[in-house]
Amino acid sequence: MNFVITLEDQRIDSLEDLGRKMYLYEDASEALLTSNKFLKFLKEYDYEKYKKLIELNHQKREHEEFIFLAQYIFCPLMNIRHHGYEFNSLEELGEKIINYGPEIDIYLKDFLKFHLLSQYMEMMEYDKSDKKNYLVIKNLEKLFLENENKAYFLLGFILSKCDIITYCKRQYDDVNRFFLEMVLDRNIIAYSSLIDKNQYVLSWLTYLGKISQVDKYQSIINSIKALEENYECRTKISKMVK
Amino acid sequence: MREIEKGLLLAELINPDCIDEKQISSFVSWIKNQDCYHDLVENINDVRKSSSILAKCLYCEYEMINLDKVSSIEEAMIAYYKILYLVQLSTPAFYLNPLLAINKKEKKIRIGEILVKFNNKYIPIDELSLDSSFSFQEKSEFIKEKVLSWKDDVYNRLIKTIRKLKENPRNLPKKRIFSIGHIILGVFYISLIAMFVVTLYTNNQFLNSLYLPKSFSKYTFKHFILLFSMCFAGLGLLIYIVEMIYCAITISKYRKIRNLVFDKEDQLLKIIQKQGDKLQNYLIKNVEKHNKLDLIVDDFSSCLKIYEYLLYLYHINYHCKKIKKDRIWLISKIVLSLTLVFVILLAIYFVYAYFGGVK
Repeated sequence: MNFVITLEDQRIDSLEDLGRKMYLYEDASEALLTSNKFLKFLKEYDYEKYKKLIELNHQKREHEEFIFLAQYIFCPLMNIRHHGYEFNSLEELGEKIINYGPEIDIYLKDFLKFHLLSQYMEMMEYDKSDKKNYLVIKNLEKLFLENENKAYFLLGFILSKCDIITYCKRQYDDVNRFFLEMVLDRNIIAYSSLIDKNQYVLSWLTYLGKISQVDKYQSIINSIKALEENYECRTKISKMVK
Repeated sequence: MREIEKGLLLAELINPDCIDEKQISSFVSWIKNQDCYHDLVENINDVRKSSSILAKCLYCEYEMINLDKVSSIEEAMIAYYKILYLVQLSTPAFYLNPLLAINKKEKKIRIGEILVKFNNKYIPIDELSLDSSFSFQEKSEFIKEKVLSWKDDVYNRLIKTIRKLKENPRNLPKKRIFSIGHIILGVFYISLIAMFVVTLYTNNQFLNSLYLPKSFSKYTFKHFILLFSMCFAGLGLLIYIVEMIYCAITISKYRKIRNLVFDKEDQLLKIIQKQGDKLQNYLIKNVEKHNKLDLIVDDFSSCLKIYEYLLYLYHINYHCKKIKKDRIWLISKIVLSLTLVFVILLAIYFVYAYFGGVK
């Protein structure tokens, strides 16, 4: 049975091709996979895939997760693909995260947010063959619930196995040299606001094993922050009372 | 806290050598300009004056902060943390014991404003009363424990002071207003004067012999002795009466307080207990009805009376070392001596006159 599917301006003539290209046209793909016409066609064309798709459709999932998992129904042995990104290995994904730093790509965040990476590993049976990495990713998914940015950057450093941090287009592999430069007058303000806003530097230090220093830092800062908020609140109340 | 110091802190924790003194002193200057620092310095004056144990702990903590000796960003951060912590606790509402509020500021605080640690948070008692997420039983048990801790605090502090006072019993001896000596002296003076009066009105012959001449040139030795004896006896009695009144006033207060403090510790305990129960009942009654607690601390500070008694004894103990012999005592002794001298002379004269026949 021959067929032609059109995703936006792209002609697709096989289900495998559909699976390979869905990550480029996510909205159109969702519209297609949920349409009655396509489902009717799929039921006749490939009942197994139809059953899997229906089961996936009936589960409560976010749009991003649905598309990610659906593409592997049509093309099971495929590399990692999501929202325009394609990675042939976990390392490539890690490198992409780090190279994009200290900025955060919200689509790369989806790998932890919607458990896409762990589900991919389960589909490819890497959870048994590469148990260590699988457990790391499961732990990072838990950490994501507490601290999104820290989990995100840690994922990048762990997958890329890279000790180097890139900041202002410069690479630093030596922690001491990095901080010596950061405390200079020309860098201090930007660097300090970066630490406060995202976890790029802290995740790098955690990856390098400076966990005790990072914990100490966060403990001091969080304690002072809580007291400052409390003090401001009480000062406001006492002013209102007066 | 400025963002710069956050960055410096992290840098220092990883590479301590990358921070210079200029950055540390800039941070310290910033801390000293903060409102929280100024507020703490202002509040600590009242904390120092308070007698509460919590206040003393707070003051010790404050003394340990020394911004001028800070040598790293981390130390400055810890000092800043302590300042923020202490400034919020350095209000009388936190360290005050309502059963023993001493200074005027503490006495005016409402019971509802006092901070208590409930469910791991410091909250005013008003908030505890108005909060309906906890059962009345939980709150009343907490209140009982808290009031008991306040009572124990008062009792321990007072007992400590009493024991210190008892270390030097000679400085605070038992004093009686009317000792045996005083009674004998009183009897002596009264008898002497009674004797003169009775003799004057019953024995005409003696009266004639005792008749004081109008002209001074006719005065004989016996006239002078008689005159002086009567004068000193009268003066002695007067001074005796004045001395007794004076002792009654000064020593009775001392005796009452000393007896209460030294010998009647159980009565002190009863006062503390009664005051604690009054406070507890007030708290429980209003917490049950979710009312605000508007009475002030002064309404429950009867234990302050005991504190004032101890201060009184402490003052005597510290300043006086022993109960001084005052001027009235000295004068009365002089007058007594002179009275005795002239009475003895008079007696000798009459014995001589009776046996020797002097006219």
